Amino acid sequence: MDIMVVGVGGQGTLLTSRIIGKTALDAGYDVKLSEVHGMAQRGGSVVTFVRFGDKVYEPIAEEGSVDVLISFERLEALRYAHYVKKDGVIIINDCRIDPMTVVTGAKSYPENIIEDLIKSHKVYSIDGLSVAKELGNSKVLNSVVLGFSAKHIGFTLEDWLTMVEKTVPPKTIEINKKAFLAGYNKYEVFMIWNKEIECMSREDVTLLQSERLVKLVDYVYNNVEFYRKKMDAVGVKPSDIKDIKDIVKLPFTTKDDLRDNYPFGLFAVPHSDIVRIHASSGTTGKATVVGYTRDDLEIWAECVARCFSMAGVDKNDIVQIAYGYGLFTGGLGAHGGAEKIGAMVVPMSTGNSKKLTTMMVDFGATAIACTPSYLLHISEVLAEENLLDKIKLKSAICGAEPWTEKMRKEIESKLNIKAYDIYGLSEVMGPGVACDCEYHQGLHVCEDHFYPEIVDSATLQPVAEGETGELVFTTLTKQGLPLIRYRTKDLTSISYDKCECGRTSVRISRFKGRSDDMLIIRGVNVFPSQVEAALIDVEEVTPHYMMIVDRVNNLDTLEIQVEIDPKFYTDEIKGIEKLTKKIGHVVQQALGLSAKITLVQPNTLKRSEGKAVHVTDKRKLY
Amino acid sequence: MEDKKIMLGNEAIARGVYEAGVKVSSAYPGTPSTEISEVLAKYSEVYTEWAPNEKVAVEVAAGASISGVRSLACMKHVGLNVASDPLYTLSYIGVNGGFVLVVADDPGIASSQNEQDTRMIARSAHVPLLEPSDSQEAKDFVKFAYEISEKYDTPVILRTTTKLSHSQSVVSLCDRIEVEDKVYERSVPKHVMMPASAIARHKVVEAREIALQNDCSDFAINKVELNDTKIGFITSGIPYQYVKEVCPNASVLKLGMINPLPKKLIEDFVSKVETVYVFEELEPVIQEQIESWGLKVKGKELFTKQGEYSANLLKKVLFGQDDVVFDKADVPNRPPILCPGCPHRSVFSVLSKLKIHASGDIGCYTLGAVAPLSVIDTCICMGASISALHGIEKAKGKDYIKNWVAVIGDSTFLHTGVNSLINMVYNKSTATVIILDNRTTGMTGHQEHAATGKTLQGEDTYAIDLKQLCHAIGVKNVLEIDSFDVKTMETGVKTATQSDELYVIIAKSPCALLKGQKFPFKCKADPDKCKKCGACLKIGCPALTKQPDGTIKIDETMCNGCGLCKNYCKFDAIEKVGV
Repeated sequence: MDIMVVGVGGQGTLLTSRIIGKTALDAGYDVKLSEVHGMAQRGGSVVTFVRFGDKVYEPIAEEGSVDVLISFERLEALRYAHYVKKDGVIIINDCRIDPMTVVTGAKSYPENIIEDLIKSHKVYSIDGLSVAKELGNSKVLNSVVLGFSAKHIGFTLEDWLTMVEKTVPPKTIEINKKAFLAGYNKYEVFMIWNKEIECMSREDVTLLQSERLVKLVDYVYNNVEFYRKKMDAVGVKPSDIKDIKDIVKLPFTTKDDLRDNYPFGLFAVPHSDIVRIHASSGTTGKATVVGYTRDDLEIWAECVARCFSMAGVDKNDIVQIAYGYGLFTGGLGAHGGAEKIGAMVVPMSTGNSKKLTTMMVDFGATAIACTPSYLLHISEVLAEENLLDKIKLKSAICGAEPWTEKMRKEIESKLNIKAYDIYGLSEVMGPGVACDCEYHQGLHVCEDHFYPEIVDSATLQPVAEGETGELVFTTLTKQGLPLIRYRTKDLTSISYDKCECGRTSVRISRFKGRSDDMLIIRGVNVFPSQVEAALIDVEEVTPHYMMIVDRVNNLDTLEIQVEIDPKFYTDEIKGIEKLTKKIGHVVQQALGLSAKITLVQPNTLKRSEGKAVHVTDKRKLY
Repeated sequence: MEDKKIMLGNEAIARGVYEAGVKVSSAYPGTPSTEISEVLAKYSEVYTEWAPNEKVAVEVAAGASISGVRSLACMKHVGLNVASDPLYTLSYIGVNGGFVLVVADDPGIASSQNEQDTRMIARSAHVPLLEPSDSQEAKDFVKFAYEISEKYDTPVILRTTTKLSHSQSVVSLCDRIEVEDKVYERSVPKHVMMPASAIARHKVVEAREIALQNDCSDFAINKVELNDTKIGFITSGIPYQYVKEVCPNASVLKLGMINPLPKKLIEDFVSKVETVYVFEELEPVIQEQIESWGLKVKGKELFTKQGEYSANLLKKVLFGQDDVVFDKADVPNRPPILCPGCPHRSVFSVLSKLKIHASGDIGCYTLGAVAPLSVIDTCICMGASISALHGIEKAKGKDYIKNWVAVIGDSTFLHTGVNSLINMVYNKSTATVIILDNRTTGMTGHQEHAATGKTLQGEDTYAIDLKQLCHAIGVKNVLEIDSFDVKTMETGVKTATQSDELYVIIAKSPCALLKGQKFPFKCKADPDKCKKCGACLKIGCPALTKQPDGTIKIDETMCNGCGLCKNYCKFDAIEKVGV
């Protein structure tokens, strides 16, 4: 491996490369380092090389051969970028030091260095000085930058810390270790998959969204009869939509619209262009069907890759996908993104916790994607099997059901990992619509593909930034099933502030509830009306029922209490068992979810005076 | 694992010197050789010192060798010029205890004034020269050099280059061999080089070289790797590594000894291999000798005589392409500059203001040549500032140098500058010499010298008083001025240059990078008071940058609070605050 450390004389490049070299030597490699001494050290551009491998000949790396370029200054990164090989990585300490030619005005300092380098290279940047200052010593900048670079170079954290300890002056060991760790952990935050998009200026995002919306409206008007009729009904023509602000002129779309057009009525392309179908459960046995073109799947993977990157997952990771595979979007959706990143993907699906924990240990899985409640369950299985200290897990990407900050803390402390919140819904795409970064200040939306609005669920008028309302999405680039102003019924607020992680993408806050009565149980969307509709077909029961949702041992449970019609009331056990089984089967069919059925005597369920209350949710998820 | 270490070439050389049982070492610092003495100083078994210059160092080591112990002198390539006087004659005298000179060449001129090739000096002085190619060899070759030195009764040069001296690779350590002192015997024919002795010794030198040339084909340090015989390389040192990198299957004759060349081995290699390239940096020292024997090889007609080589350079010549995938960006250069808080800058700001030419010397202050300070007019070699200014005066008259000074550092002054000043006194100069006394040898990384009061090991010793020294050699007017006191400095420089007498101004202030220096202040610019005149930028301090709106920002991590910029702000927009 060829590593190049560059900077301005006096920035500590030499010590940095020496620590890398010694760490490689201790790991059993042949190592060569090339350093700069003398006049060139005096504020000039300095270069050091570290090469290690089974046998190393020349002490310098050549142009076009460097795996990792670590630059302590922006201009120096640009100066030596041509040393990097095709898939090499550039790490930049984001600071500017003017060379004398710039100070005297003879030359100008190039603008947008990082932005330009990103176009051709894999770039990670860190404001090392701020991190060092937070630690109270600006001199440990090089340890911060080294820590930030470490994962691209390899070796274990322990190897690195040991070498930092051996190399830095004795009095500064603790602060340098802290600095290394600060940089090491920062890595996850700054691992931005698509910096060009995710850090785009608000102005450019708006332009991009406007451009895409205009195209989209034209596209749906000409390809989806439903939208054409809907737009004609309110008197909006595609030509009325000139930029993103005009989106408010467009009518909303709801889940009912999808049901009404079951199965393929809202598709905008012929079936021959659809390469995949997913579906979520729906009432009266009819699912909500979504279709994807090849491009849709590509964009989906891109969005999930961004989300997984926020969680610090990269190609070196081993990721267990423990969402259900099949019609549910969770499994295959997460799978595609993790594969795009280049991680080693283990398609676990759900249902076999023992196998999951065994493989987690045996494979050395470093990340897992699953529902947060399932992960808590897994943590208990691991604890029972005494495997907690044998896992290498560092992050979890959790979603498909609402969860709380408290649950995150619980997951993080039980497993000693970082947990991230990923959001999505099958109608819009599936998981990957938004995710939170390490700062956990809301979920970053992939807004170049999914334009979010927050509206008052009663008036359907937009609410101000920061105010809570119903989240509405318009899919700006989807081909198979484009959606205009789709009402998610999820309640949240929105923020356009730049996040500390460097991303500028809009963030939605943690969900505050729903504007309808939908429940998410074990990742499955459940409406009480589905239960009601199912029970109508069972002649032995009344329409009186109560759903009791709880979380036992971190797994969602659903109990449905049903009143027996007095006509069929019996205390014969065999009869009760038979009826319970029958209802259980019907409910399973309708919800795609098993439930514990409890038959109760007629007239025992509490009758509500106003709107019927059919749900007791003991989970307190919002 | 314990005995394996990753070491700089220079560290490995020092280790080799230690393991070889050497007892005395003398050197003058010079990039890229400096670290050898610094590392060696940590081994208490070896007496190690900084000498005022390389000539002195070689003579000290020669004395130690004559007395019967193994000794060392090290220097950079241009240092050998200073020491070549003793070297040429020591070649005649030979050795008693083994005597090795480590000479570090600087192809590519990372930190020097030229890129001369020491291998040519070894040839003309008839001294054997070895060249290692990595740190392990550096250590091993040093030990072998002492063996040859004693066996063939000759000083030996170990040549290194910047890339070798300043690259690290893995070294296995051994214990020190305690070498018994040789008996000293008085011998006029061997040790007293007057004509009769020298004529006789010249014959010995020639016989020695012939013997070495015959024997060295069997030395293990000259190594044949016979692989694909279609293509082969004769190479040595760091270029060997480039060959291995690019053509792992080619045949290679790796030379450890460059002077004399192993003729038999080379003839044999050339006869076995179809096309032979001589791959050597700088001069065609190996190639021309081989060609003079009537053998056909390729070399300098393909590869440049300039700068450092690289694997890509070899690839380009052999295959017409290299590995470059991205274009090199066209960006502003970043040449080295004087550090923030450097006392030289303060003196130069005064010279720049007074539009004074400076005859320059070797040291950090050479950096005063570039914009915006632009005060240094010449830089030739150590000590030349004073003598060259004297020459200008003698050529053009005393009025011509009323706007000239010589600037020289404290260490450089003691190296060879003092001789030039004696010449000025003796030959009635009216010039002004500024000794930039920063209490250290700055550019090479802060080495002690005869006026710092500390030895190489950090022990207290007598500190030569530069003012008294100047008085003692006859300089009547010696002004000592704080480098940062720009007002007094301006008056002093005006008085001295306008006077018809020789003046020495000792500008005193320690180097900002010296260990233990305290910086209790930082400078801050007030954007509201800043009139965007740019006067502060004329001092060329890297901590100061102009912001897009034209006001000045002072980088807090770089600023050492010297306050020089504050002196040049007429609007009080720069404040010196305590930290």
